[in-house]
This record gives sequence, C-alpha cells and structure tokens, in this order.
Amino acid sequence: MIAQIAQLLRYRLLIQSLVARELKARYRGSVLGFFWSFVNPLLLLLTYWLVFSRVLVGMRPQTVTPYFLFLFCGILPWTWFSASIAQAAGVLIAGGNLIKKVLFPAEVLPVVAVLSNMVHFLLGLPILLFFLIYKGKLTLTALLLPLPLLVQLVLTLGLALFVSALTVHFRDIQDLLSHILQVWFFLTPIIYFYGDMSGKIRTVLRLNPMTHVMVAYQEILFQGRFEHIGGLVAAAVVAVIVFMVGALLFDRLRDTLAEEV
Amino acid sequence: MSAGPAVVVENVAKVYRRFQHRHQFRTLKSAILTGSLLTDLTPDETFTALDDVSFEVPRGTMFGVIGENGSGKSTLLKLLAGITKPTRGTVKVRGRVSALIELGAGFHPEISGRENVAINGIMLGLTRREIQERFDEIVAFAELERFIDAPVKTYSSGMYMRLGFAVAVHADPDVLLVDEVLAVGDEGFSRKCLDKIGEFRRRGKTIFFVTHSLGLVEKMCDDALWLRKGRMVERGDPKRVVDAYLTYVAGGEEALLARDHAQGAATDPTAGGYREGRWGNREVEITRVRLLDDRDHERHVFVPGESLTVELGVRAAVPVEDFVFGVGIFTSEGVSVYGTNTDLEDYGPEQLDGEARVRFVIERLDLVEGSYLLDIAAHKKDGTPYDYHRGLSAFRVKSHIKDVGLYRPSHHWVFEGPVRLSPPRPRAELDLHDAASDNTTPPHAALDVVAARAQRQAWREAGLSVVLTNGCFDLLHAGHVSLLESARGLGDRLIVAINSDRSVRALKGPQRPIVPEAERAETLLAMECVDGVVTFDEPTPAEVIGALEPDVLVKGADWGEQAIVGRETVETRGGRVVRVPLVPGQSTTALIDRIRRT
Repeated sequence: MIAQIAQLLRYRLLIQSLVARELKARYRGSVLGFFWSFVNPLLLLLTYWLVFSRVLVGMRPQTVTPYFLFLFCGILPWTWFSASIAQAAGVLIAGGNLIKKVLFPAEVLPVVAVLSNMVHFLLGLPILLFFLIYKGKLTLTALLLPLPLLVQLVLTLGLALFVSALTVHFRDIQDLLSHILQVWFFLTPIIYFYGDMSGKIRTVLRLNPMTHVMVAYQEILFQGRFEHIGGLVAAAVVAVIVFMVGALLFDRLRDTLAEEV
Repeated sequence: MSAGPAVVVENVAKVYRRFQHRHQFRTLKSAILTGSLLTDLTPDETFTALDDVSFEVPRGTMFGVIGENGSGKSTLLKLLAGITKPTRGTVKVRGRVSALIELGAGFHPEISGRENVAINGIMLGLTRREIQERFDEIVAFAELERFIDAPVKTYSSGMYMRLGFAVAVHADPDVLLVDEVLAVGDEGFSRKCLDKIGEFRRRGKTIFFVTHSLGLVEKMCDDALWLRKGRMVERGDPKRVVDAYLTYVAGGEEALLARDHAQGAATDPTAGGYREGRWGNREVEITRVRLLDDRDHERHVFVPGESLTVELGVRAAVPVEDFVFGVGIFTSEGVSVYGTNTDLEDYGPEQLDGEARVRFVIERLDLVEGSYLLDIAAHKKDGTPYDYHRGLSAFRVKSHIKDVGLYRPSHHWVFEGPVRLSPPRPRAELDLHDAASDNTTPPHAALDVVAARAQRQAWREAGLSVVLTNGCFDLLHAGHVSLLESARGLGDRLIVAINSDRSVRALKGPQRPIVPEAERAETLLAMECVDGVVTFDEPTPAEVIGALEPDVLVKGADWGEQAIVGRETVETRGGRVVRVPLVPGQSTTALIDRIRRT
C-alpha cells in the first residue's frame, strides 16, 4: 500500500493538473458555471426534502430535526461517493486514447475522478456549514470532520481503482453499477436515522462500511457528538483492505488495459 | 548517459488476445459466482503481431521501419513507448522517450490551448518550470499565438496537430518515436516537422521512424527495417531495404515466389539473387543500371517532359546470339505503366560478346508525379531469363501540377468564344539538374521568390546548406565582399536577397539606388561566393526569409541581435543567425559622402 501511495504521489503534479482541468472543463460553457457545484447538492436536497415533508410525511424520522439538515449531512458526502464510483467506471474507456497512444499511468484517471468529485464535495461543504450555524447545530466536534472524510477517501479510491480496471474487461459493470449504487444508497442511513433501526436491518446496515462513515458525519456535524468511534475504525480497516485489493487488481490488469480499452 | 545503443530489442514477440463477447458475458457471471475473476481472464484466440524481432538502434541515428498495414509497425512503436509490454523478449530504451504516435492525444477539447500545453507537457514528463520556459517556443512553433487562449475544440484539425507536435518535440526527448503522423497536415506543416526532425538528428538524438513514405526512409534514415506479418524480412542499408520492399510490393507474393524459384534454378546459388530481387542464369549479366538526364548526369528525380535514359552495362561471358533487352515501368503500387523489349520492336539479335552498353532513351518522360520502379531484363527470345532485375531501380517524377493518372500526354488548352480564364500562375518549374550533379551551377539572373524557393529546395535535396543575407547592395564595395565571403563560408550555398529599386527608394530616399536592381544582381552573381540573388519588393526581407528558410541567416554586426528581421523564423525552423563583423570605415553611405566631397 505504501508503494502504491508513493506511486500516486509521484504523479501528483499530473493528478493535480488533471483535477484542475476536470473542474474547469466540467462547467465551461454552462451559464451557472462553478455554481453548479453548490446548486447540484441543493437541488438533490430539495427533492428529498419535498418528498419527505410533503408526500411521505409519515415516513420521515421524527427523532432528527430539522430533517432537511440531517438529510444534507448525508447527501453531500454520498454524492461524492457515488459520483466518483460511477465516473470511475467509465474513465478508462473514455480516456482510451491516452492509455493506448501515450505512455500514461492509467491509475491516475480513476484517482482524478475521485479527487475532482471531492473538490465538489468540499465546495458544497460551506453551504452545509452555513445552514448548520444558522440552525445553531454546529459545535466544536465539527473539527473532527477530517476523520470520516479520510476514511471515505481511501474507501472510494479503492473502489474506484477496482471498478475502473474491471469495467475495461466487463463493460456490463457500467450498466449494473447505477443499480448497485441505488440499492447501496438505501442501505446506507442517509434518508433515515441509524439510531431508529433495530434487529436484522441494523445488522445488515452494520456490514456496510458507508453506514459508519455516514453516521460519523451525522454525529459530528448534526448531533454535536462523536460516539460512533468503533464503527468508524472498523470502516477504516475495511477501507484500507478495499484500497489494497483495488490497487492489486488494477496492477494485475494494468498490462491488459492498453489492449482492451 | 552511458554510451551504447539507445534502443535494444531482443527476441521480442507480442501476442494479442481476443475475447469473444458471449464468452465475456459468461465469464462475468461465473467469475462473480466462483470468485475466480483473475484466472478466468484467459483468451480464447490469439494473434501474433510481432514474432522474434531483434535489433539495436545506436544512439544518434535515425531508424526507419517500413511494411504494409498490419505488419506490426505500430505494435513495435507501442512497445518502445512502453504503452504495452512484450509477451516474450525484452525491450530496452535509454533516456527520455517522446512518442509522436497520436498528436494531441490527451488534449481536452473544452479548455484552452494554453492549459492543454501545460497538461500535455506534464504528461510527457516536463516540470512546470520547463513548460513555462518553453511555452513561447511551443506556441511559436505551432503558429498559434492568436488562438492559444481559445478552447481546443474550436481548433481546426491542422491547428490541433500542430500544437500536439509542438509540445511533443519540445519535451526534449532523447529518443523520439515518430508514427505516420507526418503524413497528415498541410505541406508546410509536414516540412516543418521534417525540419524539426532533421534538427533533432543534428543534435545527436535518436529517432525511430515508422512510415509508409519510402522516400523519407531512403533520404533520412541511417538504418531501416522491413516488417512483414510481424517478422523481420530485411534489415540494414535503407536503400537496399526499400528496394527489397518495393520489389515485393510491385510483384506481390508472386514475385517473391518467382524469386525463390529463380534462385533455386540459378547457376550460382551464392550470388545472393534473392536479396537483390534478381534472377536468371547470368549468361548475360546486367552489370550496371544508371538513370541519366539529358546532360548525362545520373539522377533519380525527374520533371515531366524531361528526357530519361536508362543505361545498362551488359556483359556476356561467352558469345550469345539469342538475346533480348527489355525495360518495364511500374508504379509503386505495381501497376504496369509501360513495357517493351528489343524483340517486340523487331530488333534481330545477332551477337553479343563481352561488355556492351545499352541505352533506352525516353525522349519525353510524360508521367504524372509519383514514384516509379523499373524492371530491366536480359533474356532469351523464349523468355528464359539471363538476368532479370525486378524493381531494383526506381525514379521519382516531381511536378508542381498535381494532375492524376499515369500518363501525361503532351497537351495544351484552347478557349474560344465568351469564356475567360486568368492564365495559370507562373510557376518556376523545378530545375533538378543542379540538384543531381555535384557541380551545382548557380542561376545567372535574379530570381523571384518562387524560383528561389525551388532552387533552395533543390539544394536542400542535394544535401547542401543554404546561407541567406540581405541588403540594398546598390554600391558594391570591399566591405560587402568580405561580408559575402564570410557568409558563404558558413554554408554550402549563398543566396543574397536584394531590395528592389522601389524598396530601396522607400528606405533610403529618392537618390538611391545608385545602381538599378538588374545590374546589382548581375554584379553580385559575378562574384564567386554568391550562388543566387533574389529580389524583394517589401521594405523588410521577412517574407523572403520565411519562404527560403535558410539554414544560416547572416547580417552585419552593426545590427543588434533583437533587431534582425526574421531571426525568430530562422531559429524556430532549426537554422541559426550569425552576425559578421564589418570592415571599419567601409559603408555605402561613407562612400557616397566621399564622392560628393570630391
């Protein structure tokens, strides 16, 4: 793992400029430009908030208020996670020209997908913090934010490497992935409160590393406490394992990429 | 960097694997079920793109690879670039590699040229600082100063490629890998690319060149390799490799078979007939083939309408009475253009004994531009070959007129009635006499820019470097002579660009020029060190310099380095600018003053 990270650090200049390019290119030509980084999560938030406060009023968890803020704490990091994975799946195929025609470190591409989405996440964060302050929810525990963020980063990188290399060989994954991410979303306590769950459902949720990451975010930002330490540590261990497996698989398939893309 | 070859390829094979779609789908399902994802990634069909290829490329040389489509050229290039790994064998490349495989691969259409240059440079291994230092040079080379801040998606494909090429060559590689890319783009751009590659060569870099352009391989490469179906067929002297390839292309498989067959039947199996594309029993041997122009100079490039003589030296070891000489002309695609022999034309052979010379004279070579191969043969009346040379000699026809087909009948146009056309632009038809002979005769009158350019091109093709200097020269004095002599000393040929009378008047006032332009040209041309004079009308020589692309631009040392017009043009194209010290007290203005006072 150290070697892999060292490798990525060697390419940091390249990664840095590709992330910058990704961000610049993404919204070029659109009217709102960079504001889409803020507007996107806001619109998503609005959608869920409308559904649960106007349509499915009874379904909404009563233990967390204001609900929309709770929702926001989960949706923002989830968007980073799911967008990264979805993008990573296609990134090697889209960048086929680079891999086939230029001597180019392929692993840079999924990493760029994850990092550019992380930048969007970080850009959305001030809005969330603004609302948290506005509602008087923000406490000093928010300083612990880097912890779940780091765990999520490692986990996402690992999955991105895994998915991107595999998609080159099995294009089916790209289609399958949107459904998997959809199910994963509902199996992660984002629109509902983990504390409300019990029995079998809770057991299932506990097996999902993203659960612990989300709970950590919600506790740190929304509830002003951090008690889910054990869960986050477990998630961190899983994240490191996933990263290692992803990097290993990517390494094993690396030589085939230029031919199969 | 240590000495030794820049590229070492040893017993390399590359096997591509093919997966079938249905198979792939099953694999995914079963792979997920059984969890044996990696082991299941086995191919069900393989394709060998390269097999048992070994060679070395010494540092500082240019290595050309030719072969048909699908012969493994690009695969070889990818292996050298490190994009793919060989299935067997090893590939070693020393030093920084830059691959011109696809120009501008990795450009992002939405962001500006400027940002793309930065990112592309990083991909090629440059640091930020290096990119910053070279940025202006890159942009100037790509001629995109005005558009560099526009998004790349608005670029034309030519602009796109120019930028890609500019970045790649400015990455300062030790080994440059070049694919067919140079064939694309307009002529000016291709020429610029070739100039740049020439410059690389002069700087002792190694160039690995994959192309279909056989002429370039012959002209530029030190060493060549012909690949067929992934295997090495011929390796060595570019001319020989290209000839062997052309023989194969012209005759296809059949020719190769015939050659193999003929070799088996040859009386002297050690003669190496196979290699040279030649068969027959050599009772009559063609000892020499020369292509001559109307001045009996040996040449390989001709202009339509010129005369071409094929001269054969033949030798009969024992006297023979049954012999026929034949000549056939083929296009490089193997299409027969013309063929004849002495028998068809009813010459009755009587006797051939010892050495003789046979000339086949084509009075007017009415062919369109292209490369042509010759079959030259001596055989019996019944066709039994004595000595058959297939495609061993080649020539090229070069023309400004890009007409099509094979044959250019001597013709002209007549227009009558209410139809008006402007006459064709006057073009300096290429004069290749000078290019071919070592004794390069200079033109005897001032040239216009177009003619001067053709002349410069001919010199360049003959491998001569061209020096350019400019000025009014309206009163020639000793200072000029020393300047011109030192200028000529900096290259093989010197062109002097002189301001036209109108231009001199505009610059120096109505009193000048003292001597009119035609006389000035004559005087200059009379000097031994001046090989050509070109007149220009503009106030500065920028246009002439741009058109002539001299290897060396010479100015008097009274000019500041920054003030020299055309300096950048010359330098970006790989030439240099030299300031020559002046003889004190010698100047036209001083001379005029002196005359006035007396």
